Amino acid sequence: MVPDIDLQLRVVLKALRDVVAPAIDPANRLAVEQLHLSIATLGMVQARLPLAGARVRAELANAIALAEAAGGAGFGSLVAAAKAALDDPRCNADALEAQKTQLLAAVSGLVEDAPDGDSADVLARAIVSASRPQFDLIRAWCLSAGFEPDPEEVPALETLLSGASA
Amino acid sequence: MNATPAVQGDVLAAPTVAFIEAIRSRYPVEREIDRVLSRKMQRRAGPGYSALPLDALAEGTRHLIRAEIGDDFTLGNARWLHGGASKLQMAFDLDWRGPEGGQRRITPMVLRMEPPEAIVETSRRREFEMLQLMRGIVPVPPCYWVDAEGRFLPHPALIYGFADGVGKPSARPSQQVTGIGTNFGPGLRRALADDFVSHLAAIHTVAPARLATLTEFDPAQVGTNAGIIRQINWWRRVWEEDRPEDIPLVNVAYRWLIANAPPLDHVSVVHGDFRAGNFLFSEEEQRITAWLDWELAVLGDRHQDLSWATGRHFGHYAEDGQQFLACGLLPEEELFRRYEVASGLSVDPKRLAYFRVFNDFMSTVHMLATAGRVAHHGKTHQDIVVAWLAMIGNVIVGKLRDTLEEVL
Repeated sequence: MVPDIDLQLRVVLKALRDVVAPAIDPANRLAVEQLHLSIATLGMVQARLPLAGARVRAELANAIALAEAAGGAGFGSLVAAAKAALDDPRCNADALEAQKTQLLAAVSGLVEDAPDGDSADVLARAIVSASRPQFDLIRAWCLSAGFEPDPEEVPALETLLSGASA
Repeated sequence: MNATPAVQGDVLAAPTVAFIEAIRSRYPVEREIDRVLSRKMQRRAGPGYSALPLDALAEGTRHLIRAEIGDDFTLGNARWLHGGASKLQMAFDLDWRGPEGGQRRITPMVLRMEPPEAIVETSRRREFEMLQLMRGIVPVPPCYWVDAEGRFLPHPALIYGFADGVGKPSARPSQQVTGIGTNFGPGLRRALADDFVSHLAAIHTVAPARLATLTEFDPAQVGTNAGIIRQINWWRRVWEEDRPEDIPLVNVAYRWLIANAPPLDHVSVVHGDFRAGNFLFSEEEQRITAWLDWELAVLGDRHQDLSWATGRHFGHYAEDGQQFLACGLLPEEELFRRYEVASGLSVDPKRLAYFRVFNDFMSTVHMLATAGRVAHHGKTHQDIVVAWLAMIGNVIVGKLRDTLEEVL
């Protein structure tokens, strides 16, 4: 039998909470803090794991949209390859991540190399505007970490991932 | 320039001399910052952090102290000290005759040592020098000795006096890791706000003659923007050294910051991380007892601190749910009004907006580049804290985007 991953995470969390945590010397604050964060991190992994594939696909879709908004000459083949990867059910997460990485590097290079002037300003505004979906996604993904001063501003993760099948 | 390929192959895991030199020449920074960043990259491929026995750290500390004052001392009661996200800290008691060689006494002290790489790579020389400068200006712990190159200890370190006080109110324990969003409660809030404002004003108005004594800081000059451009290049260089993948918005922010860098109108010491969580206070006396973490201090524009202290992620709403409190202490408008009175310096909304972009740019680099990088290579004693903190970078880069949308 291959153990269910969710079950494995659940039993680890239970052991850490019920057995390990009470056994730690409260005076050892470094250990207390690191256990607290270990439990919180594993809890986040447990909640997010089923969505991991959808996130990779959504991130590549966001990168494609960003590259198209930037409109760099020579981006055509990169964008086409990324779209093909997104449409190919045999592409694994690493291959999709690699496509995203190439697109983001190309767009960053375009920004760095743009001569000063109106066209650079237009490009900057396009990047700023087209970056929003990706930033919304990573904020929603990490919402449970508790760092958002206004969590209600962040769109629901399920909405952001809709259309990106795992 | 062409952005470095994202996964980087991974050239950033084992950078060559040529790679380091190319980055150095592309992004000129202050001399001492250049030294510590170059050192970081030269050691990048070296080992990660491995657990240090407390006894070994105490022994290294004895070597450092012996080199400074000889054998007439006893170090005891060594224990780990909790707090902070970047440095290892060990508390101990030193039985000695004091810096003047007088009566025997026991002085509680703290060793603050870098891990192999930290969430912010900074200079112990600068921190030591700034702590010395601030004595008598605002409450700071006395700083005794520095091991700038890690001659006596595994990594660069300094030793300062143990400061009394707490970082969080005991009745309102925060679950966050660094005092972010600390709620002091209505009673304590008012008293601490008084010190918060007056100390910020005092830091920003140190006399030029005293600033001129600093040797580890490149000077800043009124009328030019060279100082802030050096700082922008500092964090752009770190982005180049540490990022796991490109974020084109960071490139946009960099260009905007360079193009809009304001000339300095007054040279201030900028603390660089002036916020709740970086001061200790006495709950009984309701006053700030020590300002800590001077590692990001620079000579520059006061609006950097003012903008930082009013960052959304450091504050929270008051009990009425309406009024937002900067650092959980006082409303932003009140902070600026009282600061102007206390310092005699103006608060310029345009410069505040500029430094909001700068601070979010810098924090994005810390959290979305360096935090992940050091955790990935296992370089710290608390990788899990660093990796957790990295998630605040998502909030900050979102705010950076929002601000850029307003100013572009």
